[in-house]
Amino acid sequence: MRKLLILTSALLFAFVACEEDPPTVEDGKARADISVKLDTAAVTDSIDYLPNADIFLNSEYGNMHFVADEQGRVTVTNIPSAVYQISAKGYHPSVPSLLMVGTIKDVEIYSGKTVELDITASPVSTGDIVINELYVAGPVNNFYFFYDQYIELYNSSDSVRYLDGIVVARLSGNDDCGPGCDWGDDGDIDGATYIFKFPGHPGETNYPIMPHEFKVLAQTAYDHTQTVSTSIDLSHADWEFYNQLSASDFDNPDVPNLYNIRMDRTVDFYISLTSDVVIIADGRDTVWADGFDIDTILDGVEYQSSGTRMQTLDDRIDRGWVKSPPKYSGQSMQRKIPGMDTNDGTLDWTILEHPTPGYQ
Amino acid sequence: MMKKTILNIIWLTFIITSVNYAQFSRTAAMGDLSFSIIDADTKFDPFQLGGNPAYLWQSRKKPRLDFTQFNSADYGDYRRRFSSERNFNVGANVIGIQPLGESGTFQGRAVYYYNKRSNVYRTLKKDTYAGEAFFFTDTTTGDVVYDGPLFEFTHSLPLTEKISVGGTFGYGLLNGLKKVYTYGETVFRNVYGTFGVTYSVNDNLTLGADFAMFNTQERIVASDVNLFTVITYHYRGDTHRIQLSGSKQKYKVSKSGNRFGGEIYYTPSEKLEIGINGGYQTSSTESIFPVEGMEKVDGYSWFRDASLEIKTRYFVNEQITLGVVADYLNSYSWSENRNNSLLLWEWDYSDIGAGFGGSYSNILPGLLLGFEYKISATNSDSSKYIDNKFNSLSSTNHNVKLGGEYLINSLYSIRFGFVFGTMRHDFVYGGDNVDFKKITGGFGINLTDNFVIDVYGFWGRLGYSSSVKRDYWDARITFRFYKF
Repeated sequence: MRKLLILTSALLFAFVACEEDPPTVEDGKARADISVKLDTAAVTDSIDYLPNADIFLNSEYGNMHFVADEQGRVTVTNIPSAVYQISAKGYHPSVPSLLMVGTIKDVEIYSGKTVELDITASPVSTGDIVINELYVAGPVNNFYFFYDQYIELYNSSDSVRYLDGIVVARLSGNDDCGPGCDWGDDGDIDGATYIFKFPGHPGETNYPIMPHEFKVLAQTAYDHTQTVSTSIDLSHADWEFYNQLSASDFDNPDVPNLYNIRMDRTVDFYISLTSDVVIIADGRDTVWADGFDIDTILDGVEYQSSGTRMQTLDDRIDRGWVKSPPKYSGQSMQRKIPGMDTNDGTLDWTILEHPTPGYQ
Repeated sequence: MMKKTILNIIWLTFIITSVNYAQFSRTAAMGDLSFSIIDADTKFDPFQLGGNPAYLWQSRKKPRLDFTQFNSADYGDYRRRFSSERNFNVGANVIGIQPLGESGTFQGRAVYYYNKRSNVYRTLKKDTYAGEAFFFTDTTTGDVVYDGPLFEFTHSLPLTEKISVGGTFGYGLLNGLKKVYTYGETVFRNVYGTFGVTYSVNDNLTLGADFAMFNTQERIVASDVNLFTVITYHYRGDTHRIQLSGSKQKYKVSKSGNRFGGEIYYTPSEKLEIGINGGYQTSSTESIFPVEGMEKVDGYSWFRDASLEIKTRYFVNEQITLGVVADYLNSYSWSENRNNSLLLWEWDYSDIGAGFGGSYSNILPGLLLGFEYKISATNSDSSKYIDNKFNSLSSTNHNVKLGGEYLINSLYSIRFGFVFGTMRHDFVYGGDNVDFKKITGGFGINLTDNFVIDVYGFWGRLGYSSSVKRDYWDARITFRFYKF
């Protein structure tokens, strides 16, 4: 009997020793009370909240979208615990043409806690002409075709703007601190590898871009569906990158050109399919070798395939980076709203399943 | 949700009792009769009922070599989100049993298994519904093939007149491939071992205890052959997922656990046989991703399974056998997000059942007929916290088996059976008011005293309407040698 008791006790001990207790905090019970306030410095008004604002919660789980009520409030419940980037946008209740945007970064929302957040929405500052879409991934194909890349510009102002003398550059060099970084802290960003320029000079008025108009700058202005059925027709693009130093670069005679101004480059305006920095500058800084002066830069975007890479584009150009789609996916990157520029690409941009050249 | 529980149980059953695999062709052809019939492969002893290897030498007195070729399939619309539209299995199983006199008995087994899963929706894990709160998927639907061998060795040794020991070791390897984007390649490794001891109190009573350990590892590498970027998703729960992209995606599932088992085998008289088998098992699963080159446990699941079954068979006379069975199973599990120790999912499942049956031989010369009935009650509670989904379900299940065997002469016998079951709720596929029917058949040919051929097959259907159903079939042939 004693042996039996010892054996039974040993077995019971073994069973109990194998037990593991579950965590005490249950996921999915996080709650956030969000209020979207108006930056009253923008427009003096009796209303100090943004009604019916769109609210985006971005975390490792992707994007979630909510809509605030008439008082600019929303309560978000039962969301997974994570670190969230939260943005709110909507049009000013008194000035409907004024887009108001606010963001809060790195908010820890965890189960069992209620987080109260006030987001202040300010008018979106625009650089007038912005990069609105980047299609760089290439179409769905298995023979490495990516020659249908394009950059879409957008005039987000209510006035006519001019493209004369504006330069478009790819920044992928600069071993010191990375593409788009201000090495030496001398007020310019370095690492330009390709630089193409619109005809004319800054201040001239030959190449207008109308208010809220898109302009498509094609790497090659050709109907690429003739080559790859999943590609796009860029034969009617507004502009074409053309390297006059290349013997093989295709030139569509019906589409005006941006020309290469970096004489040591003899290929077309190729952009990396997954990670790069693209900027547009007004062209006043003609000495690109020492970097582009920051005060001449109209807009800049850094895109990456992986969040583990450091952002290198200077914060004064953009504080965030855009998650790029996979190469050869046929997907594109575009601003969520035409011209929406909070100076934070992470919040401003989204991935499109298909490119939209010349339209949103 | 509970589907996984059941599959987990099936997995455990496979690992722990796989020594008996493919030996049930006779009773399987007779409608799966299991406790109300006299059969060499359905004894209630510690080896056959509880998988205790120590009792092998007493359970298998004769040498035996079985070659079995098996084929099976299931298909239909009654399935889960990530289930394949069709499963097809083919393979061969060889099992040899050799008594070694005073050195006990040795059993060896080798299986080669091929499994094709057609139109698998996104999932890249082999055992998608295994009870964890984690899925790993890509973005396409495609066919997946797994194939590979399994080897298993068991040795049983009598130490004294009363005490026997035994051990089982098994090792299996499966390679898997999804032949469309993302070209997910899988290496699935399964290793397990059991150590058992039995103590014969007297000629009528034997006590057994065993301890089993098992470990499986599944490595998945998804990389597009065209060097495209691969997009995969790691799910925490059913809805929340993390997108992963890169030229190559790696994922690993590591499961390990152990089981304590105990058996009582009591034969108070030649007419009565009682077997009791209990088990307590704990196991865990780690869901692992590489982060900056280092493998990191992202998700963790823990399981506990406790089971008890009692089987009694009474031989009324040479014609009539009666059987009674009762069993209980409880499974409990939780899954957590290891990054910040958050509970994602917790579930508890229990099933209690009882049944009776009987068989009668020589109604007509050479004819054996049997039936079994079992009723069970199943309850489950599931709290999927991250998805804000909570449910509590219960089901009463009925299962009827009818089977028979007709000995045409000393050479030939034919077998037949029918199984019908109903479930208030199907915890595997999720349907309500589900019924299951199965028609079985087969025949045996005793070519010589030392060579037997057994053929077995069934067709079954599971579903809750004529349009939402899943069909099953199985066909296998066994060549059995008693001298080799």
